[in-house]
Amino acid sequence: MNRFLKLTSASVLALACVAAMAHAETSPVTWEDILNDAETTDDVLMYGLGVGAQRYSALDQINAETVKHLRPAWSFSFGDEKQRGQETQALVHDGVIYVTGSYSRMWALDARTGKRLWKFEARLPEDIRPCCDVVNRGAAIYGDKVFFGTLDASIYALNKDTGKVVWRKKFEDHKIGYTMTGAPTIVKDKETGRVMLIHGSSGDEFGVVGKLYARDVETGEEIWMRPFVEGHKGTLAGAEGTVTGDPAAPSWPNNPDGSKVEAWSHGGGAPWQSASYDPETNTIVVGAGNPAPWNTWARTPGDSLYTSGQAYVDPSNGELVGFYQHTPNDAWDFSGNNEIILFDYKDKDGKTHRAGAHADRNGFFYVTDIEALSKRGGEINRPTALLNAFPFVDGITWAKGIDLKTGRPIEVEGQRPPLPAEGETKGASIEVSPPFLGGKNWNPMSYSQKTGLFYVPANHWTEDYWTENVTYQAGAAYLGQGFRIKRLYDDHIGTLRAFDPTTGEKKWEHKEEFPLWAGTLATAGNLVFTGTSDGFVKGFNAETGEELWKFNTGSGIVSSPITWEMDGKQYLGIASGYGGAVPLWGGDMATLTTQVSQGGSFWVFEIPDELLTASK
Amino acid sequence: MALLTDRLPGAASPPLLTGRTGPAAVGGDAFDSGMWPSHRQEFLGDPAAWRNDPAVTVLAPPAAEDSSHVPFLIDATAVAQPIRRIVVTIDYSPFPKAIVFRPGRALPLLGFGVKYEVGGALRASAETGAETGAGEWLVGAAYVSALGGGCSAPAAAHHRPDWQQGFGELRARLWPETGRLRLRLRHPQDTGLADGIPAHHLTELALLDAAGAEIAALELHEPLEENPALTFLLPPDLARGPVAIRARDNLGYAFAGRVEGAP
Repeated sequence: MNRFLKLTSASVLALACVAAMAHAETSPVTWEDILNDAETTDDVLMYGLGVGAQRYSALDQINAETVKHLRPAWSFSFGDEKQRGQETQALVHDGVIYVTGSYSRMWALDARTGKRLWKFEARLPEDIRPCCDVVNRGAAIYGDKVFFGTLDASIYALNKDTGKVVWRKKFEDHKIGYTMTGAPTIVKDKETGRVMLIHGSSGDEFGVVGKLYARDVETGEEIWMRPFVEGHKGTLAGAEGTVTGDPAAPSWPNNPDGSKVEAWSHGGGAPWQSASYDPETNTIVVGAGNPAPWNTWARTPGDSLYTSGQAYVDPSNGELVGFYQHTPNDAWDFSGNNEIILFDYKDKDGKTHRAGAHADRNGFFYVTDIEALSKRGGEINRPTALLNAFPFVDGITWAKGIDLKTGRPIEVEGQRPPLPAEGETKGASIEVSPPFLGGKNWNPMSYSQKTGLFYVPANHWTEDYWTENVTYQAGAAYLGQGFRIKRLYDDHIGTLRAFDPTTGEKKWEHKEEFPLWAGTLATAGNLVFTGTSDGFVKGFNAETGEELWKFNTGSGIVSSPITWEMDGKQYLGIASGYGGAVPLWGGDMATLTTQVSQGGSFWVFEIPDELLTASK
Repeated sequence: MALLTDRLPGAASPPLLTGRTGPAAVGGDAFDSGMWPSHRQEFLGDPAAWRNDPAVTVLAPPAAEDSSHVPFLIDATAVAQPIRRIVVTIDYSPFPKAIVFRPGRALPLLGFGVKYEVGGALRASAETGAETGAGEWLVGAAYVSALGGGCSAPAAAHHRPDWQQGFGELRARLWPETGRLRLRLRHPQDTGLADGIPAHHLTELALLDAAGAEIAALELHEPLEENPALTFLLPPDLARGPVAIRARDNLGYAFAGRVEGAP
């Protein structure tokens, strides 16, 4: 008998405790926890910090007075050589931070120390086709699982305590352009009582048909799928479902023989950002992507429903119940994907409406009527469900404004780029603003319940824009457009702006030399936080826009900040790591973006105890 | 007499392949490995009752021709008691635990290939006894000399433009007359040690009968070779087939197949 290591029973016990620590279990997350996420300050359980996606926290320990003392508590390096854009928003539950990273990676970190608890790294095929960098925007959490989408058009459920795969579902073919970058969300359907994972896909630039999915949280089984191109068929309970809208798809043109044009088969409209949820009407609210191809003439005549707008979906059966289109027959890749924040809107007459707020890539800020859009039955497309609309950036060229009566844009003639002349491969170039990168892109705005203002991370830029001939080829870019992004102003691209949704008045603005590509966070401490492409986390006075604090994280910031309370202290968390669409497609922005180093890290800030005491 | 050694060509004279176990190993560690005591503690639960036993035969080539594919055959059919599980460990590997084999209704015989990072012993520890209660561990081992590097080199699949091509392809054959079942699954079996390639390997594989009841099960870890080939031995009643094969990997990919008895 040859036994080297003999353990006493005491040391066996100690060993067992260490093992238990390594797999410490946190409490399961319930639907009530998620529903109350916006009110509870000790956790962050949803993308958008609550089902209404307001990105507002009632915490005020870090406030306009104390923010100057903010210091890093710890920082965690994502590691590997996979340092691309970090567009994530982290979640916090029971002292554990769940953060996703570029190339479909995810980590669980001890929120107190930054110690890595586990890491998950998806194995990606070589031929993934993300249009706009290998980003991931975040995870969802429910029960004992965390969920996130990966670039090969798959979705994973991991055990939140171990990081081990519970299930994986591949929902579409990545080779033809389907991919997933957005954070999924959790919804408990009021009708069936079923808890479901809601997610979409990306891929409009490759001519995918945009689809919204609901899955069983325990097994990943598809509950329903809803395509956002009119006339395409959905699924329900593992069988064929209903057609979206009119089966004849009158909003898409026909060929002379009566068949639908090629563009209809690849119509886009992908909901690649995260859905909000209106508990009162039991409705999922999500933005639908741009139509494919970008080239407007391939889809004319018609409005190209249900693309470039906001969609209202019934979780019980996946039916599209209402739709508001920001850009009918979108010729500019404005998309309608940007977040829809649910809030109580007070109109000019002092009347309160339950409303959705949306700052579109097309440069206009929309306040929509949730009640009118979530009503079951009747015409799906409801252009008059509009409460207010106003421009939130300078120099919009494509439309004079949004007609509040008809709900449609007042387009400027000549802003739809002309077809190539006979024998030419390119059409005449026109100048359009905002360009396709948008007056504001995916990076979420926030709404302060304290100031009643929206904080919009906007950009000023323009583009040369021309048509090209287009035919669909599986897996190839399906645009039919050429573009070059240019400056609008010499001194700035980014402009963080505060708006009153009732008057459309710009309360303040803060200019940034680099494009703004990070989300914002508003707090009861009279602060607004965001990050800049040249690496700073910044805190602003929510009422005046005065820059009160900044810290350089060493790489550009294109992620969304969060805040939470732990052991009686308020913390701020944000990922750093430059990338996203701008360095890839930003044209003249290259002179700026090439100055930024790559990175990949998560930063947590606090006010040191001694300074907290001193400032009291 | 072990079932397999019995069948080897020239079994009467010294066989072609030599099991590196036997009387020489009984009562101690023939390979003088510093890792074995700690592996026993970590992977076998530090059993008081264990011994090297020639009834657990581990067949392997004396030297590995290819460190990415080192073939082994474990034959514990000569063990008189029922076998609960066989734990396969590699003395010197970044991932010492390779396989846990629960033979169930199959015979305690398993053929497989592993990756070798450096030369050393592979051990098969068979736990005897009924489902519960203290069993006894009977250990067989073989020493393989290897150039090494098998665990840290990228899988051959990554030399192709798309590793997903053919990924998950499952081939199997069942010989009813002998009860032999051989299967091969296309899988890169990435250990996570090759630069820029995350760990991606099988975690479990099971054989099921026509009614869907489990015949045998494997718990699998990083060292299993790329595109692993596995050999099982089934008793006559199960050898007629059909047999269903189910497997899963650490990234949640699931694999399934079915094999009929070859005519």
